Amino acid sequence: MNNSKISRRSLIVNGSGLAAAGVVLAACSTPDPGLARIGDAPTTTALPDAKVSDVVLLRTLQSVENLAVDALTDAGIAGKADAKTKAALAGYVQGHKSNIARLDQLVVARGGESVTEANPKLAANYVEKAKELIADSDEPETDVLSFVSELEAMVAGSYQAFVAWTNEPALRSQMMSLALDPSQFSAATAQMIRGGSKGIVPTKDDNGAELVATIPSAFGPLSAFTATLGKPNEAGVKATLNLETPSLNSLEY
Amino acid sequence: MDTQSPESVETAPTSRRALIASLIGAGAAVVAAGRASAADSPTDTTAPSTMDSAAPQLMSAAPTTTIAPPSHSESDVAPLNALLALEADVVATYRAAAAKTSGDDLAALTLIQENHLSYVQAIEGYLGRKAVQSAGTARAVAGTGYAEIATALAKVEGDAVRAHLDALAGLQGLDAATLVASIITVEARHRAALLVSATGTVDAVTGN
Repeated sequence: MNNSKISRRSLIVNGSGLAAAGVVLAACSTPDPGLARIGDAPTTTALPDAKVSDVVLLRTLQSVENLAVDALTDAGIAGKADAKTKAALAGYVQGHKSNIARLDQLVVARGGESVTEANPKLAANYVEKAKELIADSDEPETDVLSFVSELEAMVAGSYQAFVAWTNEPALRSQMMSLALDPSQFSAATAQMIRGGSKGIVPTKDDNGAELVATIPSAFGPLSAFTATLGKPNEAGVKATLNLETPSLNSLEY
Repeated sequence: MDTQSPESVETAPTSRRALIASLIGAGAAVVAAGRASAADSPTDTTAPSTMDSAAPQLMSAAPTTTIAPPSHSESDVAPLNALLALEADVVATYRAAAAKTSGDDLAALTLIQENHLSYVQAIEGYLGRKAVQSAGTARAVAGTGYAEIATALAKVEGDAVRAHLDALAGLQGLDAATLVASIITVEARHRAALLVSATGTVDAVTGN
């Protein structure tokens, strides 16, 4: 009995054709756009291709050295210092300018462009805030010393921190040779706050507060450098300003 | 009961040859559509086949890669052992100098001596069994008063800083380089602390 209207052969042929057509249509389709969106979607901007090269680190160190020169010659800081401190700050400025000139040579030798301005993020976060606090202070001369000691330590710490990011071994040594002056300036300023051999050793006052020490640690720290300055609050405690070495968001790319 | 009747060749709508040909044609169309879709897609990051004629051009346009500096290097052992011997000598020098002082002066020199002992221990810890132990030989420190002793020790610190900077220029391992860098910044502070505490003025470090 032959009552079937579709033969096995025609079934296979038609089925194969349909399957092939389905595959062709699927291949030509576009990706699913997802749910419909209402309103204008904001355009996205891709981040710039920022690489932390040796030149970037050198340029950033230039900006930090420029920051030190600007701070040490600012009327809101140097202008509040006594005569002895002003003479010391003038010597520090010469040291920083010498470092800037050396950094300029290192940057140019690597095909980079020198930075002649202070690091904007550090200037806004540290120098401007220090000026505000010193302006309100009852002891501006002492506060200037406290800030300068930590600022110099931060500059030296920046060189030390960048050693871990520098590719060229010889450049690491050249950079660290420029850290010597800021390191010594920081220690010398600490001696101006608490001098003599007594001032070298960390200790506390009668109230348990830590006193300034010329040698606060055995190894160069990479944590924040804390300056105590400003008008004391009701409890008699001054404000603290934490100065940190440049990070990825404050490098000069 | 068989309900499927055999078909004769004459009644078949297509032949076996036509069936195979149509399937091959459909397969070719699918492959062509897939290629076209891949070419249009801007997000396709599939690596090109090595058999593809476009592969050499794509490979030449690839960005160059930079090899990261090593954390440790066998070539650093010798210069670090030299620094280890130097620091052991500095510890012995401070021990001898501190014996001539008392009170705050003794406390200051003892603190710096302990810092140098920390450098010995840190370098030994880094080198492990490759560290060459050294008892340390004290350098002669002239003078009896704190000012004279501190000035002489400042020179010892200056020499130590220079030795560390020289070693740092050749260190390949980042861990060793960061350790030496953290020592350099504090040894520079030692020098300034000794000079300023001895003279009472910052002129020695500012060059005034």
